[in-house]
Amino acid sequence: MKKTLFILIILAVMASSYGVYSYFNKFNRARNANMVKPVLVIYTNSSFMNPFGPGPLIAQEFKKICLCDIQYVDGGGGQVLIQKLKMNKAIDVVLGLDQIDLKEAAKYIKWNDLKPTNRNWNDVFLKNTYKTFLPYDWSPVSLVYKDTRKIESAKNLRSLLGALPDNSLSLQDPRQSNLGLQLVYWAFVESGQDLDKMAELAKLVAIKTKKVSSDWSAAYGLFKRGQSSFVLSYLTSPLYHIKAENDFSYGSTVVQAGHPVQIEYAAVPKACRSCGLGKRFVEFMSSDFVQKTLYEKNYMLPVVNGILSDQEESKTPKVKALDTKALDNFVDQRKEILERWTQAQN
Amino acid sequence: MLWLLFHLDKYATLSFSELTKYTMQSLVQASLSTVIIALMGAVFCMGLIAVRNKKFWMSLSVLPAFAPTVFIVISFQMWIDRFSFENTEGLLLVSLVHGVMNLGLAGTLFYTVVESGLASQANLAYLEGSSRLKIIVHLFRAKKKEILLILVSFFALCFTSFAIPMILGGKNGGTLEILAYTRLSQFGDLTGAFLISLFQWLIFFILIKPLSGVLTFTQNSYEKPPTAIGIDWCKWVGLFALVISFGGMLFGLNTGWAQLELLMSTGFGLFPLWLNSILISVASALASFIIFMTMAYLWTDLVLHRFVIGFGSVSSVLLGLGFYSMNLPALFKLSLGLCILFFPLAYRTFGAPSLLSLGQQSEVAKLCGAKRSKVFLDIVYPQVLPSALKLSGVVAFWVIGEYAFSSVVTGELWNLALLAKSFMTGYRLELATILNWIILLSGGLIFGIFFWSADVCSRKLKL
Repeated sequence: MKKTLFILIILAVMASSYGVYSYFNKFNRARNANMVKPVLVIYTNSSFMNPFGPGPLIAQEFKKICLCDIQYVDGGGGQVLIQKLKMNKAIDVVLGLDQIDLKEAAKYIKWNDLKPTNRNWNDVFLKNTYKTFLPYDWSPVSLVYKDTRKIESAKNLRSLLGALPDNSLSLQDPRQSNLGLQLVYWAFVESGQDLDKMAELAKLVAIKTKKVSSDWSAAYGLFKRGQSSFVLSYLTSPLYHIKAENDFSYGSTVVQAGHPVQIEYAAVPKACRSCGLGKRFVEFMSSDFVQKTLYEKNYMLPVVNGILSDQEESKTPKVKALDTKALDNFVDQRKEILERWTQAQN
Repeated sequence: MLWLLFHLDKYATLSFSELTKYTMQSLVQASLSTVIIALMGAVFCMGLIAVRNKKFWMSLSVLPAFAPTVFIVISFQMWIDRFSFENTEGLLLVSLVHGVMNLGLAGTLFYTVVESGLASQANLAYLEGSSRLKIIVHLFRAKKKEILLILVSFFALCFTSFAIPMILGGKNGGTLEILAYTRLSQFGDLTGAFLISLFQWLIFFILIKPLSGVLTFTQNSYEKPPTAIGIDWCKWVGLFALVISFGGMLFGLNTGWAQLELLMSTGFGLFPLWLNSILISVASALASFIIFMTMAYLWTDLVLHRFVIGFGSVSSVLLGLGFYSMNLPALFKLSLGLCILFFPLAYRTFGAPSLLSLGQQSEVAKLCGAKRSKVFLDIVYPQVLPSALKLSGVVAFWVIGEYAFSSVVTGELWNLALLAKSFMTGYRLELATILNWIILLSGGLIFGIFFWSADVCSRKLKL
């Protein structure tokens, strides 16, 4: 008994010593770093900051010109990120807000104004956006398949759904995931913002759906393991398989009537500490290096023209983006739309 | 939760019908899951009685109950497809998955109940020619309070389950936990999420309240029941749960391994993250150990016991936001928060039965004039130490793979679970699977150390 207690005490002492050591080590490092150079705190998502993501390379490059340290933090995305921002902690840059989050973010959080850099911007992304948010990458949303069961193109969403086998689609729950919400938006736009027509599409979606997951990773995981033939993802998703796995068997469907697009935005909150650096970082996000890195590592398309070579351009099909005019209405009526969608699917 | 009280900035937009629907679904799902767990657990318990190398079977079969849920769900999904259960979405499927995941743990706990006090009676009854069924029925009837406590633990686990209903629940499998998360994730309705979480807690508390009087004191003595009253083939049920739960985690290991090699070639420091995983696991286990020992010291004062028994789990995201707002070291926030999330579950399963069994002894000692500290050191501490170690081991295992709460609190790639999550959200599911195997093995090792220590202590106690 005494021996066990002794072992436990030793374990406790070891654990607390390591904890105290790491805390003070980190504290000292931060203090030393602060004495020499400022730390830029960037809230983003975990796929951006992981060792294979674009974050580490971008940080390395930016450090060369800013003489600062960069600390990435996983903000949690969407509403969790907005709740964190409401706490007014020292956050210098926020990366990864999408069009659906922007209205709420603009309503509850104070942001610094940003001026687009003198780049050859793709016009689509500077229209209808706020002066406080700058886009840094984007991708159309589409269905991804493996070449054993493929649908290369369809006229519109209805015909695409019609062509899908029953119980073949892996989706994200629109109540949990913004990507899942993009499908609802797609149906909303195709129905001319008529909720009854949208409900018909929702029924069709329900017939074709095999599994609704909470988030993209679970849905894509099911698809990758062959448990569904199609998954709602990004048009650019096959790029990952080509670049990282040298696997050319993945493809994404082109819908002639247009695709919803997911655009990721950068912003600098008013509560920032290193505001000047934050603004410089956001400007840096539109540089050739970052735009190329985002394509290579985040598998998203650049928002600035002329970044990709012809060969790279050819890897992703050219598609038409859905009109974003309906987005304001969609966000305002989101609760009602989601209720109709869920009712129709039931 | 206290933090949330100061940050409620919107009026909640809850509809009564929605709340009623999700409450009913939560209750039906939790009840059905508990029944399935009880039945499957009882079958596995029969197998455990029959086998000789019980510890081997127990250690293997409890693993699915502690592993990261997302991977287990993907694995289950594979089998569901194989057997064409494609349209079996909803409550039934969720309950079945809960049943298979937890049958090993349930069987092990039932076996512990059988072992604690009635084995000699069973031996005698068996020698006198009583039938197997009669012996079993008698065993379970005599130990109904302990069994009730175990079932309450599983009810709580399923009532507050999140990932499984979310992925497999389909149209009718949503629970209050999911409703709360939805309010926050889609509508930023912190007030709504908070109220739902509070309501869920209240419902659980009301359900458990009448039971807290029933769950009183019994005497323990550990003996092995006769193997002949067990049924040998029932042991395979535990293996079945293991294969179903982990089968899917064997896919893509080659790709994952290649990705791991690539990661290591970049000079990425995996070791410090592994060390942090171990640290958070051990720190949470120690925090649980301290809380449990505090409860043991205060025994037989039942206030804390009743509170913990009736404490429904708080939504991880809401709790995470609360802890995020505090300016404290990450290690402290994580170990305390994870302890709040997992301690009640572990306490109901491993802690409460041993404390409950000591009530009489403590009361008698106090009546004889012994001081509280004397009662604790000489009576309570030596006898609850094995349970305290088991409880801590379980918390350590649960905590090591947790990322939902941790990612909200720290936001940094602080340990292996958070790194695995970042790979899952960035296409590299195979690499995440490899990391999860490392997490599982490390968790299993810590769990094993705690269980081994508990075993040594209980053997010394028997001497």
